[in-house]
Amino acid sequence: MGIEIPILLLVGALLTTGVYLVLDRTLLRVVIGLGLLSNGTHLLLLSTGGLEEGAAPVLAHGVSTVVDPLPQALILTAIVISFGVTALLLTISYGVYERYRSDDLRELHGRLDDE
Amino acid sequence: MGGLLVAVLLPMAAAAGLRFAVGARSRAAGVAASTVTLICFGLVLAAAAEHLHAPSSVSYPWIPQLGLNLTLVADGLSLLFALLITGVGSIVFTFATAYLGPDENCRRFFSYLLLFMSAMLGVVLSGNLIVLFVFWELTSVSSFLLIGFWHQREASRNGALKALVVTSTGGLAMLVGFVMIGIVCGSFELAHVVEHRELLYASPWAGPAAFLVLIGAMTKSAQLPFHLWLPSAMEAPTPVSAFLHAATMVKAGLFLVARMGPLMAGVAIWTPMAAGVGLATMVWGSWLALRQTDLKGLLAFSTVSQLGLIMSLLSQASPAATSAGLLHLLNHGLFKGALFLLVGVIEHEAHTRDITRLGPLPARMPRVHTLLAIAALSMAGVPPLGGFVSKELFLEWQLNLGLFTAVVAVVGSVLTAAYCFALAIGLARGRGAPVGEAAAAHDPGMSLLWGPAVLVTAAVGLGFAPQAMVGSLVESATAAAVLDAPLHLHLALWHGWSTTLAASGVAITGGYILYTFWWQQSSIVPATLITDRLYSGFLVGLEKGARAITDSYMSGYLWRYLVLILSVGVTAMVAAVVGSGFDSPVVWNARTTRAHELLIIVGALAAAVAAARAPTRLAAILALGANGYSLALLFSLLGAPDLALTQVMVETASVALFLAVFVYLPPYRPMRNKRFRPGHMAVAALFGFGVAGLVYVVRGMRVAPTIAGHFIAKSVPEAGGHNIVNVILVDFRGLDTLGEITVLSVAALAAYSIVRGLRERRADGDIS
Repeated sequence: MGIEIPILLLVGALLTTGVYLVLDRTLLRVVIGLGLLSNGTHLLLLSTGGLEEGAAPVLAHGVSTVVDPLPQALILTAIVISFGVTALLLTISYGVYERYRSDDLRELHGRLDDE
Repeated sequence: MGGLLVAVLLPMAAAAGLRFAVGARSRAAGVAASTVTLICFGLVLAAAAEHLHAPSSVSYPWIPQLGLNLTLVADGLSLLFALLITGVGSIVFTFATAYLGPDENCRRFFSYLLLFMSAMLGVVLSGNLIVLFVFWELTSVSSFLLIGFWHQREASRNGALKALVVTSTGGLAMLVGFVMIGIVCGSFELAHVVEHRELLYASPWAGPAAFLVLIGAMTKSAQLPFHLWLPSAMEAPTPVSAFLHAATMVKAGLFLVARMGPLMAGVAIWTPMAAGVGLATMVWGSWLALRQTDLKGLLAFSTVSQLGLIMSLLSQASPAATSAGLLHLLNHGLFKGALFLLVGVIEHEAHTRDITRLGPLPARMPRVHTLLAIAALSMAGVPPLGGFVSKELFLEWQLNLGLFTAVVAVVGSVLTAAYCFALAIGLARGRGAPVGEAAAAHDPGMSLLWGPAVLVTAAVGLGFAPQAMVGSLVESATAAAVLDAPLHLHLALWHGWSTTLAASGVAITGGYILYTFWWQQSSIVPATLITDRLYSGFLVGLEKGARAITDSYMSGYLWRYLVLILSVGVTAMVAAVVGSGFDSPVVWNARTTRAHELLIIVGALAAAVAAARAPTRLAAILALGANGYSLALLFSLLGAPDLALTQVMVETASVALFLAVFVYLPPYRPMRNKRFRPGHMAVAALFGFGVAGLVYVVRGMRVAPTIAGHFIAKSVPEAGGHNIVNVILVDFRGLDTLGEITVLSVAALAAYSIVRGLRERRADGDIS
């Protein structure tokens, strides 16, 4: 078991770009940023479980050692949930644009009070 | 003793029961409440007959684990107050039944009033400090409800709030004092505390505890500088003012001083502080009373002043002073209760209580004015009325104390006599002709007059036969309030020729001169209280300050919130990483990354950067997709084929969805979005690499073995599945997956309703 430095660096880079985009003014870039954030988080979870030599956690003839299946189960759930979040956010951005004719968070500021 | 418990709990039960028994505007509420009060009065009388000379107490466990017991004490002090509360209560309740208009919500009014009476009886009968505090705060709450009874009026709401803020702040200070006492003496039971009072004197907490308890007493009894709430409380219906803000609740502070006397008299600051505040309040309050044109305002400041007088006596820990204070307290309950009720009658009939608009009263309301004049003269200390007896004792005590207190006491008495003459004679002569409806006012029927009449009769009686009426009551109460008091009380109207009598003469004559040559001659302008201005300024400042703080971070911009939140997290993480010295306790045999894996990592990195820097929306979406697919490849190489499969499917669906929405979105405006923001970049990088650094530092800290072995061993025999990840998801952790499905369903429903709502709006022509 162990952590590989290159994978850890990739995690750091994914989280960085993800957060940078989430801080943006354009709604779509916020959603894209959240996608990158979840990708980074999933990889982080997998690597904290420990990366080691071993077969996939499928019990077949001749397989003796398999990697830890538990983080994988967690991440699988997380991937599906983050898809749900992305889908909902996209729908909301679409709805916001349809109503306010803008996807710029600065322009949208305070607009809800207009109605 | 059981009777006293019933007396405390019955009104509370009745307050709740009224809701179901009578209609909202029914007068039956008043009849029922008056009956309950009379029953309580009877119960207290019975208890007084039994326990006045044989004090006893009884304890019902409430929360014994915390040392909280509903301890009821029947001694002279508690019985004196209980008699005053239920006695004046009986009169006020019956008076209010006749007084309230047919449109008032009588049921609500009497429910509050009954709740208050329960709380007040609880305060005076309680023998446990914490229970006393609970009842104490309950009186503040019911007072709040009663002052704000006409809640549609802004002045009522403000007055109610002011009373609550001031008295409950003082109550909290008192609680802190009680906790100090309880911890030092080892119990919250009053008897135990008094017995072990040497522990308190020996500890450094004695002074602070005495100070805090006095703050509680001063706020409740409207002493300087907390007197501001009482005049504002006059927004309450007049029977409430008579009962709470003259006869009973404001005396809770005096009760506290008397009750804590045996314990606190040994603390150095107790007597000087309470007596000093009391005398100052007496003088200043009577000066303010003299300058009121509103009758209720005059009575409010007069109450403030009289409470100060009694406070200065009760805090002396001397039998003579305490008995004088208690006698004056009874007197005040009678004449001030009567005065308030009579002012209520005047307002009821004349629709004003402004002295300058009422005109000469005796011609139109002879009975009301006669009663009012007698009560006011008793307050002035004119013989042969009850007030004279206790005022004499007050002057005698202050004269013996020293020249300074003697002068202060006489000055206060002169001012007091002056405003009393303003009531008794000023209302008879009038300040100008009656205005408006006041001209047609006349005496009411007996239903509104007998209550004040009874009180005034008692006040007169106290002058002629004080010893016969209340001698043993005051004596027994004094014995409870002063330790080891050898007391042979003899109350009498006539004390012989003495300096005290001369001082009384000076006070009355001086008061009459002040009234004739100042009050009757000059125009009176009520002044705004400095404390009132401070209070309003404090409220406004609090509101403004809170808004300024909130506005400073509730900007409404997503990125500002996130930068704030992330900065806090980043600070914690960076501190943890740096603090660790990058030193991991366990050395790991890290797997070396293979060349093709490195290639994929670089690819994923490039895709992420591209997603951030893409000039068009399409490129950004595709870059995000590329990043997801790279991750899928990486998963498959790291022994996670299920993750790889899921990632590919989800990424495909995501990209399709992005592209579907893409069609509807406005131009991407890449120029503005490409503007690089170094601040955001710094927060983002610190966060991203902070997390990575944290993982690097904690990488060896597994504190328990993995439970993977369990799943691997049980997968085939128990679930019959070879793919362990699948088995975990659908079998071992099936409920988690059910939760996941629920989340997705909710997201789908929300998305559907958004789209549908938009479609309907478009059909209505709201949006193009």
